[in-house]
Amino acid sequence: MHFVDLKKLKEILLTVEKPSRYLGGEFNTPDMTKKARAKFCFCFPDVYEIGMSNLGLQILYDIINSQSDFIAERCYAPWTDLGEKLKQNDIPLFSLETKTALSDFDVVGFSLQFELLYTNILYMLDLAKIPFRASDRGEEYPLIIAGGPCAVNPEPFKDFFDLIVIGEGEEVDLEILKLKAKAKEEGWTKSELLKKCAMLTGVYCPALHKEGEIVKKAIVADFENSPYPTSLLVPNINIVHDRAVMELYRGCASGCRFCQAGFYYRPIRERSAKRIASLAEKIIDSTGYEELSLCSLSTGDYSHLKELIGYLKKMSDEKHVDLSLPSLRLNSFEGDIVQNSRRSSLTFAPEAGTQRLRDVINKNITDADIDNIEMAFDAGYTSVKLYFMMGLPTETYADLDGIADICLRLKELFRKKERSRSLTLSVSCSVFVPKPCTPFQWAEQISIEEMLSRQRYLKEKLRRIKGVKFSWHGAETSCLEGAFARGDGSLCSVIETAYLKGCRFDSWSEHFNWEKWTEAFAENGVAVDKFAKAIDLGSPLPWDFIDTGVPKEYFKKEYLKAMEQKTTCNCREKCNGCGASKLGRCTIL
Amino acid sequence: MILLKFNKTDNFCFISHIDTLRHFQRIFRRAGIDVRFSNGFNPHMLIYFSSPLPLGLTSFAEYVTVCTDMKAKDFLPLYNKNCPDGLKGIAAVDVEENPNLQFRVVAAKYDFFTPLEKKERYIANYVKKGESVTEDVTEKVFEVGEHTAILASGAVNLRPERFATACCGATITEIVKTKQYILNGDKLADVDEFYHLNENALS
Repeated sequence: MHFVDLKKLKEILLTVEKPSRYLGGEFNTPDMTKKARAKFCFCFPDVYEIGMSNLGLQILYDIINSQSDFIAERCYAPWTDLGEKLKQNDIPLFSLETKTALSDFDVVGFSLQFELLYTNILYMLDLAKIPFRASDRGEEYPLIIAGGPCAVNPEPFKDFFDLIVIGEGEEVDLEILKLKAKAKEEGWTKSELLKKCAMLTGVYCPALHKEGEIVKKAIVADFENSPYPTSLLVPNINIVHDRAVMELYRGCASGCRFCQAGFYYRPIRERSAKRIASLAEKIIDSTGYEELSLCSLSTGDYSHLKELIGYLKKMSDEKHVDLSLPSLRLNSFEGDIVQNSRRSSLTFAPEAGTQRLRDVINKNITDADIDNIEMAFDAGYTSVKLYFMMGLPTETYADLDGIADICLRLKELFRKKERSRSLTLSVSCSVFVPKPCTPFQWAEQISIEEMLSRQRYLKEKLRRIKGVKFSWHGAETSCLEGAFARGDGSLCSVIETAYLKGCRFDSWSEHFNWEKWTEAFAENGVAVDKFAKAIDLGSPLPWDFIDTGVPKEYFKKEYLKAMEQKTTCNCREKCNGCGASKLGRCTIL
Repeated sequence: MILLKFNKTDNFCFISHIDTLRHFQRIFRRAGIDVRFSNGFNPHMLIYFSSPLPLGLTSFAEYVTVCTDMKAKDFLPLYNKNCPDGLKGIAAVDVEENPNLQFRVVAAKYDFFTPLEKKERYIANYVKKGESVTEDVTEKVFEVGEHTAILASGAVNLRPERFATACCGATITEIVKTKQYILNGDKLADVDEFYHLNENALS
């Protein structure tokens, strides 16, 4: 086993930013001394503060560590300062808990949350001295696997992994680890092990996959009783979401046509309010957090929200805990009123500026809903954050004008009454990226030039409205995100070339290097905008072999409805027959 | 009100003062220790620390005063059950008022892993904000032993790793803080003795 020389490491850590990112020792760390049949290392290809804020990883980590004979540890991407020093000092990348080299684990699993983190997979493997490609790794290496929302289209990174978990990892990860333990105990070869793993639901093995084979998404069937970590790790430094998190339900009833999560996490599975409240209280007691946030794709739509708020309000008063309810949709604003903290900022996401375009994308928010913000002004709110996307299918400049009109309308509503403070509007506009397994998977992504010209237009429009702050997403990064979202296996080499040229932490503007990326695409003979074009409805797609439960036919129907500006109702009104309930019971049916 | 003496060891020597403060608030919440809050617009727990440690320095003598009605003998075991290993409590006493250690401490004792060289004058060489500094720190040195030194700490302060450049070359991870002193008349008094923390320490 390779354990890192702690004394040497400490000397090095003194010379890097935020050394406690790399040391572990968080309160609630599980027992790492027990005898384990096999060990798993969760890798998150971004910094500690972001990785530690990821609920999914905490759930999976807890499931493995609550087994008496398995251990899971963690590793986050070291910032470039430490990365360089590890290389200089020949120290292999190590786990936080026991400072064990990654290559000494039995299974190393990457959580892929965002397309722009793909080069960091190679960055971490490189620091761990593990060959990039599965085909170059012999029996002596751990199984290198991946999972997370990006696995919905695994083709752009398939060459790097032995196995890729499609869907929810709660049950699958542990099954893979169990098989690996058995393989060690009974002396199976790697290919025997891969064969057995590939038989599990949700497991895609790129090396063994045959043309035409379907990989079905794994889901947690009994969500009510599925394990949930009540002893969350309490980070030693301030992280992005530094609070207790409680997941209410999975899936989403809204059916926004651009939203991958909304379709990927179907069927909808809700937990009962009683169980949520009891889990939440346990989390607060075991962590000492001063804030509890309720998390799901559209928290305001949770069926038993009133009942739940009733339970939580009692606890929050008794224990001085702040409640925060993120991602509330405009039409579920009512729920926000119950927050007891002295918050003055509201966040809403109309996504598009006009009713016409909101109908196209099926964001069922009306102008009347936007007018409801007046209630918030009356309740004392003086700042509103608005989220929009540009480049949505069928968008025209009139839709961009609509964004400005919403700002003007809000200012007008605010001015209706005498108020002690002035209104601040923050408008954030990202670029639409067509994602696999959504009705817009065939749509065009606008070119970089078009993105820049629409951004300029909107910037100019909003500049004239007093009190509006405007922020936007990078055009080049959006273009790259689009390529990786809908790309095919040819991108594996592009990612590798880009990494070798020095690309990493591409989601961090100070590290993003578009020039190197365009070189990497060119050297591999792949056009950068190859995957940005509109796709014919009849053409095969790289992710056709993934069965998310919602069939292509349903997406096609939704796409055609979008082009006719026809909306589809919220699943809570009536079942739209998306088909996901064949994987497991949709609890709102 | 309780005066708690605690360690800052292992990984916690790399944790900043502000993160340590947040940790304490969470420890008290987990432990169910009822700490009084300030009355301001943003109520915060009433807890008062001795001076912050530089990043990388381990200490076996940190102090915090906690405004609570709980008694020290009940407090310490409850605290230790709920704190991370790097912030273990060593001793606790009931105090009438805040000892205000952040402003009263004048010196601290340190152990150095490498032997110290006794000198007439101690000339430190270090880098401050990117610039090399040479400073005669003799006035801030109270006592030098084979492996230990008592140095000014507080308003007049001498960082031990800077002192080390004058006579032993130990890096900050090779130094440990072991005692803090306040003035009793014109003599240095160990905080532990002054507040009877030794008698109330865990065995």
